[in-house]
Amino acid sequence: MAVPLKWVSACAAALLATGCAQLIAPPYSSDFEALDALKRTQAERMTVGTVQPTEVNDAINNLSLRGSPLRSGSGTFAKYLEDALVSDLKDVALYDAAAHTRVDAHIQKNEIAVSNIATGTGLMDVELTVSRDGKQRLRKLYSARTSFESSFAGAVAIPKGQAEYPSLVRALLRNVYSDPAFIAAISR
Amino acid sequence: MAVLAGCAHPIVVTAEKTPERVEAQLIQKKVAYAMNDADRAKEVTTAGGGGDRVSYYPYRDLEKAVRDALRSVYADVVVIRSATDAHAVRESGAALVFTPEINTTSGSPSPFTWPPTTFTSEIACKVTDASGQEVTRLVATGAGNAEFSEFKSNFSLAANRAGTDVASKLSAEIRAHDKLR
Repeated sequence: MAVPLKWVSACAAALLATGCAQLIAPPYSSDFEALDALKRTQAERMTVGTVQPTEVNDAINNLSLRGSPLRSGSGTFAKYLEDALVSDLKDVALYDAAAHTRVDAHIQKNEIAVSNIATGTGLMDVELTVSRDGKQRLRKLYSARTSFESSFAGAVAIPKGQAEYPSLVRALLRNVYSDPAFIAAISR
Repeated sequence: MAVLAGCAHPIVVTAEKTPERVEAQLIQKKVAYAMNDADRAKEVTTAGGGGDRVSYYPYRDLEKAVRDALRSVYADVVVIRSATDAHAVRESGAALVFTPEINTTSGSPSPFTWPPTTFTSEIACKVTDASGQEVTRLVATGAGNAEFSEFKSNFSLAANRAGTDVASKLSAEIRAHDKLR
């Protein structure tokens, strides 16, 4: 009995996770060590501008995992990043919607690749600017690269790729928060 | 198919929601929780449906639930890598250190589909003071259920609901302890 059930389950799993299902990226979870370190700096409170691109149909906001669309629960991946930034800054009491210091971001690359049967990869490039009272203090491209175990089986590789998205954003923002240039730009 | 049947399906067990932080009700204390990258890299495999298994990273995924449960009670919360690192405890300035141990179970009565329809997350915390002496221990257990028709784009739904439940119960459990005020 166990073997046929296993096969039926495997078939159902393949149907569940390939081709037709629209997947939602899991919620963002911060790198709290990096955030706590940021809290210990002389950083000023800041606001977050609109992260670009906001266009829903932009390729940046439409990822595909072996043909299954991966979407952001926030509507776009730009909004996902914006929400992540705001959530992080609120966590360490550095967010103020009316602050003079403002962070803007533009996602240049946003990829999760699971086509390789052994290793999946994540890639994100974001141009970030920091301004204070309208004067630009920093403009810099930040990158994150992640890799994770993938699989020949789409029913495994696709959810692996889906689960990887928060890790990719976490890696990117960790790079931002630990960058001395960023810390200098947001400091008093 | 053999390859597929031999693998565990990855899910993410983050909480759907975490406890609200109400500034006026916070205890004016700085506390820490202990978690490090080795904890976050621990992968766990438990049962799914149809005889299949699911795999996930409970510490990585539930860290925010632990932190937000503490942040719903205390004014200031930081992470340190180990409660036994006296230097790190002293440097953090924390009055209390919570060391969580996370245990999970999952399952599904479905013979045809792999996503778990039931999930439990237990967070057991050993609480120590700034000198490393044990203050108390507490346990919070959350449960989540999800029907197949609800899964749509989220196969982790039962786990996410368990995360919400355990975060809420952990917050309440901490508030209920006089020694932790």
